[in-house]
Amino acid sequence: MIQLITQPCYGDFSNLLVEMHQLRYRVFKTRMEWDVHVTDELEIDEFDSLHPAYLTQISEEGRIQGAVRLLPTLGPTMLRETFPVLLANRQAPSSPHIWESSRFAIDVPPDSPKGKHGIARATYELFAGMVEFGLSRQLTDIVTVTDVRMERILRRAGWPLRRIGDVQNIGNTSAVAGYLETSIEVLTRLRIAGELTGPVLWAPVMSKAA
Amino acid sequence: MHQVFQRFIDLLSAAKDSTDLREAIAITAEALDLSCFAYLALPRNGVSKPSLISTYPPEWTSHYLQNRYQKIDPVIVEALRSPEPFRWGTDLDARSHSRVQQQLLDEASQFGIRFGFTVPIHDGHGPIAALTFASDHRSASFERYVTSNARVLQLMALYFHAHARRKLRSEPGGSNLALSPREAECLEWASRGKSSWEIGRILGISRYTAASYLSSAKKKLGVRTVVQAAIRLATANKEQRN
Repeated sequence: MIQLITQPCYGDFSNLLVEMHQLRYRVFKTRMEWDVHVTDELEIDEFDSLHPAYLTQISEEGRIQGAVRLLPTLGPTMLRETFPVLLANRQAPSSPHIWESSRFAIDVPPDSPKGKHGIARATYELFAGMVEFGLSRQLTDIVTVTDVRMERILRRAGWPLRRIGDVQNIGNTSAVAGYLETSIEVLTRLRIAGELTGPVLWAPVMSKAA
Repeated sequence: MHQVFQRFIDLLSAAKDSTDLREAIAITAEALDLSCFAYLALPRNGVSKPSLISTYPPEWTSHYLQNRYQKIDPVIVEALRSPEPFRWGTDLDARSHSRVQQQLLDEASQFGIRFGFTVPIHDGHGPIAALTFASDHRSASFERYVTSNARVLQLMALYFHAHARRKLRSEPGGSNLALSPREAECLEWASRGKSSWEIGRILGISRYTAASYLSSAKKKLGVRTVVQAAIRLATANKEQRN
């Protein structure tokens, strides 16, 4: 399942947020060796202070296996502030219908269930969660900075990235920016490829309703 | 417990400057039954003044900063050594402190700072800040909270740091130079061609005091002459206006 955590609910999910920052540490610092800010096995950066929405992928045993961060492009984005080099002299998107995803992380055991094309079902779930989130907020696209390895996975999964500019080497990464369409068609494709039977996104409902 | 975290996040999100940030964490410290907190960010170059946001008594913080206690404070020393959050207190520390360190702890204790929980903040390049929740007494509710929620407290400290870094950078008169008002004033007059003696007369201080403000200003700006210092200050002021 995919759990949506927005700012008004951070408190209800404080422990899950800690686990998410630990997951990001494992994926970005330990595995991918990015130059990210880490403290004591938690990876947190300044964009986390902009009260983003987070999607977290939770296994049936209740373990966090994946996460992604979503920020409106009307505010500061990584593409505009950190990686403008990837814009190829174009304007960074700034629209209520486009959000930016970043810190997409998946950490599943090697024997975890796979969907089509050898991609983990947890990955498909997180992709589908992003599209469901987009549809629920009337987004047309999600813009993202990613690397060529992830771009290949997206293409195989049936959710191709529309590149904004060319690949650039940033640190040890071949980085690229682009748009991911959020539509019913994409969602249907991802559900079939990921063998998902229905909606994946869980949003907290008003727990304080008397 | 979750409500404390949520309230903290809401306050942080709404915070516009260091006063709001201070308020955010002051409310949180109170909810956790703690008398005070301190966030100390250390300059990377080791020369500029550290920035401090705290509810410690002002007499203590100014005394602390004046004496550069951050360089010997056993809590800060530990925070620099390891990124793991830790508890400390007058009865917890069996480790031996040097005479000056013991004196520092005794002084702190007179200001009601006796027990605490400190979250060191290290980034990709090493230690950079520490956030301490402190109290003058052992409180059972806080002990419980720390035991079961150490990670959440750590997350709060890191979120605070992320907000502080973002917001303080854009604050006018930002701390990139960190000159004291007197140092800036002396430098301002020096840049208009006044000698130390003249500056002393203008500001009603001795020529030696004026000269020492100028020399500390030069040191902070990392330059050798007053002319260089005046240029640096002028450039920085211009950047801030732009």
